[in-house]
Amino acid sequence: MGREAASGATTIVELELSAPNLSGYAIYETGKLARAVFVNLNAWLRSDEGIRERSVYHIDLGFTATDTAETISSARGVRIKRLDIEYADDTSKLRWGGQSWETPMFLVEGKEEFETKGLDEGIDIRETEAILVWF
Amino acid sequence: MDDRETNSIACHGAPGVSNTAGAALWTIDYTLQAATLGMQEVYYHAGIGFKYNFVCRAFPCIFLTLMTRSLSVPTDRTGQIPGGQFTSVSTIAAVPAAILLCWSRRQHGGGP
Repeated sequence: MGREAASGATTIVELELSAPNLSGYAIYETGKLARAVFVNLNAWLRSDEGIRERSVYHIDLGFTATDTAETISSARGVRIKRLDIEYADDTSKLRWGGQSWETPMFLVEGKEEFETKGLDEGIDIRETEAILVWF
Repeated sequence: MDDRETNSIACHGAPGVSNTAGAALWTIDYTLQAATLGMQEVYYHAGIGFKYNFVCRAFPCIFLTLMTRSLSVPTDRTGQIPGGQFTSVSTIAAVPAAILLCWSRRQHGGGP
């Protein structure tokens, strides 16, 4: 998972999403939906802390149910890797799938973490966050 | 089609923008957007002392370490060339373009 060799037949399309400042891209391998990236570009700043709640978008994956089996690599669920950011104006403390590269010799530190969700559950993405989803 | 030199703000970036986590999100979106437009390659301008800071602080140093390894340039413990201004291999060739861009901004008062 996450280490697929390039098939040479990868295509990408931008998804049309109704949520403001949420961008999404779907990546297909030989015509099958393989991965998607969502970026919630709404800014959660350090100065927002204590003033308001950090907003969350829920991404409904219901669109996959209307696809035919041929267009989805695995129909049951998704695997998610998250770029975790505390505040948009931070200059450190980022974690990608639970791991950090902010180490003295720039070697990765920590255990790689994934989340799994059923297609019917959908995915939450907080403001100032990005996720990579495997189907 | 490719993008031979880019990043958030010209002339090595701006503190409070280019070095933030928010800029990391922008970079992901920008790169994937470029891919949907048919871009084959995108080169990000980065280097020691610049304000760009992608997914982590180590980002420029990683490029520098890779480059200096391949060129057998002596480095200090953090992977930096002492007093060096070079960034990635792709950026070296782009330096004159960056200078031109800075000059152009000053002349016309504009900028990205």
